[in-house]
Amino acid sequence: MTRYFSFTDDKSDKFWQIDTHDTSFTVTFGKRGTTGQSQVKTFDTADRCQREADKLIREKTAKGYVESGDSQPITSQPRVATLRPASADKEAEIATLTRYDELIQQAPMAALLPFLQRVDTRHYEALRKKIKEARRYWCDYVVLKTIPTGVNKETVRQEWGHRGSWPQRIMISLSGVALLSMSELKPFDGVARLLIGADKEFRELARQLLEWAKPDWLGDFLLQQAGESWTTIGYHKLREFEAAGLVSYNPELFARSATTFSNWNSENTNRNERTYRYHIESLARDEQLVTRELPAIFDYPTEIHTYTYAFQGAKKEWVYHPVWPLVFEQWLTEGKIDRLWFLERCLSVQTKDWNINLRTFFRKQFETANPTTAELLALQPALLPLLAAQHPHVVNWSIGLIKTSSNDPDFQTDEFLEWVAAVMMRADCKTGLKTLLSLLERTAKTGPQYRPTICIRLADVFAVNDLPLQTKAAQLLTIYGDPSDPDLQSALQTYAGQMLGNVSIDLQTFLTKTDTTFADAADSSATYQYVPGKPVERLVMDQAVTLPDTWNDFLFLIGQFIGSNDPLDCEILMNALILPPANMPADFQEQLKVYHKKLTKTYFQSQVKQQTSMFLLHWLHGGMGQFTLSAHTTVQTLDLQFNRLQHVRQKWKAGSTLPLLSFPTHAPHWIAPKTLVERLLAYQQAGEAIVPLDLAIAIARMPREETAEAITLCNELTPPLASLMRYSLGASPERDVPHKTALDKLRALFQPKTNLSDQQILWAVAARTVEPEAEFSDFDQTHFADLPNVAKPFTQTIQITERWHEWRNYQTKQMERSPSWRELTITFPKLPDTLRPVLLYSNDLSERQNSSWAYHSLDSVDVAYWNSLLPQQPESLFTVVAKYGSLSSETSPAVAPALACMLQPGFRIRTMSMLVLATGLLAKKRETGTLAAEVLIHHFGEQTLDAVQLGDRLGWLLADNYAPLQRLADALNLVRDVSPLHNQALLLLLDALFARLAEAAELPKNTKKLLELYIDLLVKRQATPPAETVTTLKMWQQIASLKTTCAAILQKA
Amino acid sequence: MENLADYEYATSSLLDKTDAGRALLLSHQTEIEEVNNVPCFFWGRLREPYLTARCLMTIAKTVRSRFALSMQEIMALRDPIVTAGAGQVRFEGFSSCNGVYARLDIQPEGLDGEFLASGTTNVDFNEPMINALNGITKTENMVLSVGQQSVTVISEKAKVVERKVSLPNRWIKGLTSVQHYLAEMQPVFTLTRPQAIQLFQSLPKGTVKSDVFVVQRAGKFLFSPLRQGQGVRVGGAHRLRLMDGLLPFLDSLKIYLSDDGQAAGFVLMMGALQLVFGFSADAYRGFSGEGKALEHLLDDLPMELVYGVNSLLKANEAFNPTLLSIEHDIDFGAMNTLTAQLSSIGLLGFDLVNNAHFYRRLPFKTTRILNLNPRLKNARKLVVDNTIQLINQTPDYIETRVKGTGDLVHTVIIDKGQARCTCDWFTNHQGKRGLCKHVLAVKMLKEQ
Repeated sequence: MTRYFSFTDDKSDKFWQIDTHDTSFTVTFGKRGTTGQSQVKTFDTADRCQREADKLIREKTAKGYVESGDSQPITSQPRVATLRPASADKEAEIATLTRYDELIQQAPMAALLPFLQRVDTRHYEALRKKIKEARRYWCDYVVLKTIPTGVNKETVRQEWGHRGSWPQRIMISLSGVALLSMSELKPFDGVARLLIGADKEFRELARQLLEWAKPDWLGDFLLQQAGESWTTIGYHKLREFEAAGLVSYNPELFARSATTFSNWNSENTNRNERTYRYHIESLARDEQLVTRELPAIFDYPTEIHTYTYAFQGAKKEWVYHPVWPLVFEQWLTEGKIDRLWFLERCLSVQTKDWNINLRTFFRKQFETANPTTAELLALQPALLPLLAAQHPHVVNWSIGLIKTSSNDPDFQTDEFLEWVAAVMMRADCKTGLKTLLSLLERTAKTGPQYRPTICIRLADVFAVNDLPLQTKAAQLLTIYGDPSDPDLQSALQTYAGQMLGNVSIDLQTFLTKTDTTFADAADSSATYQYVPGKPVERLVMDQAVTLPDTWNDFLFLIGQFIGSNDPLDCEILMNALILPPANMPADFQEQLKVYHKKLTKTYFQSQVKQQTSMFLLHWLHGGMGQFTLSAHTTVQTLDLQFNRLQHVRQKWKAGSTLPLLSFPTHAPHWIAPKTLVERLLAYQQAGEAIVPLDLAIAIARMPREETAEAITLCNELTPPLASLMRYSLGASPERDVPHKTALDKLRALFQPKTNLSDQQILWAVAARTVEPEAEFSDFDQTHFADLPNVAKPFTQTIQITERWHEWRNYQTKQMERSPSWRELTITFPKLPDTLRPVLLYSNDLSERQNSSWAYHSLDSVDVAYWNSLLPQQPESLFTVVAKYGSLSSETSPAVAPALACMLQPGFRIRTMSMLVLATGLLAKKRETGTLAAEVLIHHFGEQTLDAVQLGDRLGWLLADNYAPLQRLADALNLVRDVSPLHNQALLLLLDALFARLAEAAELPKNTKKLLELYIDLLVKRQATPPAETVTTLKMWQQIASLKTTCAAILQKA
Repeated sequence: MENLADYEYATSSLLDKTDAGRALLLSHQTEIEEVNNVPCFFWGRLREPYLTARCLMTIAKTVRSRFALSMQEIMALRDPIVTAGAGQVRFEGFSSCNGVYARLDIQPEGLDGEFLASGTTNVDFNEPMINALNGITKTENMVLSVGQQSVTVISEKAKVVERKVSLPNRWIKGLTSVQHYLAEMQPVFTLTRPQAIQLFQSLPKGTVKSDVFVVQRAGKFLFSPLRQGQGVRVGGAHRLRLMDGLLPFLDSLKIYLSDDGQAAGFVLMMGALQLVFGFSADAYRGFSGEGKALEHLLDDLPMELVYGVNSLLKANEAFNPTLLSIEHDIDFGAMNTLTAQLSSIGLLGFDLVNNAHFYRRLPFKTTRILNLNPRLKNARKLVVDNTIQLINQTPDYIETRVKGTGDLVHTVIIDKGQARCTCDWFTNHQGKRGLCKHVLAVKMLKEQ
């Protein structure tokens, strides 16, 4: 028969015709009015041909093709003739749509299917549109106030809800199922539950509808839903669908369905021991399940490991019972499945990248089946490839299995030695490797013919950074290896650089060339000499900072500020706002509109950037009114940015043409002394007031480099300023702190902030910048003398305390405790919570309970900004980071950005930065630990880190169980072998660390790891341990786990 | 524009056991009818069955992985494409997040068989077949058949399961744009096997959120959080774990970095096999979203030139632009554009090791591929709609205003080839992810 379909929209006007004839059909298609092209397809049976044809027709109608009532052979007659009178058709269409509206309004469920069956296929397109509209209206979750009440009785008195009642929404979803495509159905409610028959009341209706509509996407849809157990179709239902021709067999879908037990009614009181047995029995009896579904269960990831049957126990408690293991057992005992096949499949699953519990489930089935040695031997082709599996637990497990059968004469040793190559260098399979080494030892002992291969395999163990494994491998090599074997020689040679401790000495006979790791290091016996305060050039020529010259550069500077994480961009922007480019166009606000919009909708994590962004918006609005922030940051130092922005605003209001004193001249934050004095002179000439905060930051940012010209220029400054600058520049050691007269003191009672106190504070900042560690008596008379870092450097007590959570168990009425953890506590003095902006080094150093959250979550840009305000003496920043960031080694968010500051050239590590570095090395987050290792590498290379102090600090932290020792071992391993100098620094560090640990009551777990590292370093440096370490190790020799390693080290003494 | 291409395999690929050893019979399918009609491209013995099987499993793992969360998981294509010709067989695939590109090149030395046809097609990689690959050993015989010579013989043994594959467009787009990245990558490091293993031992566990750099220190290579020397940046480094299983078999590992330091390339050299990995700038950034090639696509080349090349070359043949331009008298500038255009419409792939393009026609309709660059399309629209106002122009400087959404106006400046724009795209990425539509439009206008 011939069926004719057409498709018309504003772009196309085409037809599609299909002629079915016995076992073949002809498809003709093209533009209407032409004859089009044809294709013929032939099939084995007429039945299949018809099915294919039906499928194509469904596809076409789904795409919007409309069938013409009667068959329409292709002719070249004009298009109009193929259409019915338009008006009659339109009327019928409108009637259909109106009827649909009525149906939904009244919601008689039963009427839906008869209605759909009566709809003319030509009106499908319009109806589809209508259904989508109806869904939007009835099913969307909306504010109900705006719609007439009484429409949906379920939602009376609710503010939000659906306009449609539940049955209405179901009807709409069902009509979607009948007419729409799978992707169109996505926004429809509850389609999955309808199709799998989850709701009893609609089950029959949905079924009838499906049988009528036969959507071709049903199988795909069910598979897509099968990811979640509550939307997975039940296996019985699926088989019904299959029998009814609604879905065709798809192994993945059927496997998933068969292994998912509907959990939504799992706790059913009707279930008991008897129904449980019956359930298992019914599964075990299902032939289709065992013959067709079972193989696919091993091919696709399923939820079989979560399949349980719940019923209530004696005390009415819910007990979950396993199902599939029992079914497997029954199949195996009844001989329904072949044991070997089943075991082989359980093994093959292990290589999959599936849920770990799913793999474990199948391993358990394998173990439960309890394979005999003969079976294990027969399974070798499946078992041996597991040595190359991805997951370490699988590899370790398979090594255990291989071991049990490896004694048998039928064991394929050759094959085994081939596969074993994949494991030998895997650091994540150390447990398995240990077993494997003993297995190889046995093989080598009994089979001399295997020795050359075994030795080649053993060479790969030296890729694993583990001393005991390497020592064992070296021992086997010296017994079974042939030192003249060139293959073995070259294999070992490639790993020479990675051999630990004494291994390379033990294997000397095999190694022809000496280790060339440090061939290019001029002097491998260089000694590590810590140089505190090593001078580093900070004012680097090509790091000079410039302001935008042209309007366009200014424009894009704003974009750069938005995108960048460098606090320097904030600085440039602030100064560019004071000194905008000369060629500001008249329509600049118009051009900046894009950025205005962008800034309005962006919230920056960084407090400093957010404040600056608000200020920029203020400027874009004309900048005339007061600049205020809706919320200030509670971190005092970061709030300085607000003061600085106010200063910028004052400057542009006053028409100043001078940059801020604190504007860096060189990246990342330095100010050249000469430029600073020149700026001061310019201020002096212009009669512009100097803002103390601005000058304080400028002094803190000024390194004592290229000072000669600046010192000469100081002569032109007014006396108080000149002496301050001379002192700051190192030209004079004299501090000329002005003091209060009796009259001043009286005045201060009424007006605490006088010009005099500003000057005193500036002196305090300058003094702390120049002499970070000194004590000053000059400020005794001032009102701020007691603040941290003024008269004396800030010192605090640092302690490690044990913490835990405690609660009362409401059932047992007993107090219960969580596992405890260690916290680093640093006590701050309690001071009045007032900000003294100019006292840069004193802010934030008081106990501020209410704002601790802000310190815990310091943003990385803010840390960098903070550091840039006091770059020569940032200890107060590190004190804060140590207090809040290093509190516990498990979470240390602010530590990483603080470590990044330590990598800047010339950074000087002092007490608190050392503490932050030490906690960084012990941080749980690997990335933080690696970054800390980088700091070590950098500073060891420059010899600017006191290795002994750091070792002492680490020993103190470890002795008090601040963090697991393994983390430190991992970090130090990254530093090892960078250069001979680094190795020596590490030795110094470890000596100091051991000295500290020796005082501890109990050694931390894994101390052996550090000893292994130590012996490796000793061998590489050809050094001997110092007397103090020898004493410590002699003491530790009494501990069983450390005995051998200590002995090995003591041999070197 | 349709978002998906659908096609169905007539049969399943399978690993068949025969008396002479095992045979990997791959079923293929494409949108292009003439390619579809080729029954078999290659039939022959694999010289390194074990390694090849391991590599194919790695490719399968790559195309099945997903590193960025996406709701489109189900749409993921789970099959690689294969190109046979010029003595080589290549398998190419993409992770479903579009961020990892993997290609296995089997050189002539790795194959012992007959090329019955040359061309590129999709091959079915089903779960049972991949399971079976797992047990391939070094010593056994293994036959590879790309396409199946006699469909009936095979379908008797395997249950015929029609499998429908949906192909997301971004996959095709990623496949084309990754070639531009590969083409401009420079080799940075070559590592021996022990060095490579040591490098991977230093890879942080779990998901790596921040960037890491491959750095060299005193003969060893490590992942470091800091760029040092000529360090290679790798974003989303946990994706490198895909290579884990192959490290024991390496001869050497070559590491490449793209010009802009965004994408990294890793090539595993294993005798006659080379496995190329391309990693996008970050786990959440697919190659499909990168605007790398856009600049080269501004001027349209005459289609006959494109078709001309199509008829000149066979699959896998090296494409030498210099030679071609001399032979056919095309100027070098046009040749660069041509190369870029051919890559963008899926006609060229890039071979990192030999530093040359090779010809292969992606098994998708060209019209589909041409529709893939919305940014370019939007730029054309900007030009056509006449929304660009020229402010200032000298030979190497151009300043314009381009109308944006609503009443916004973007400033676009191209100064000595350096382009800047005030739009969100440029502000957020500062030129790292290709040009924005505004800059593209200005460049188009400039060319006219």
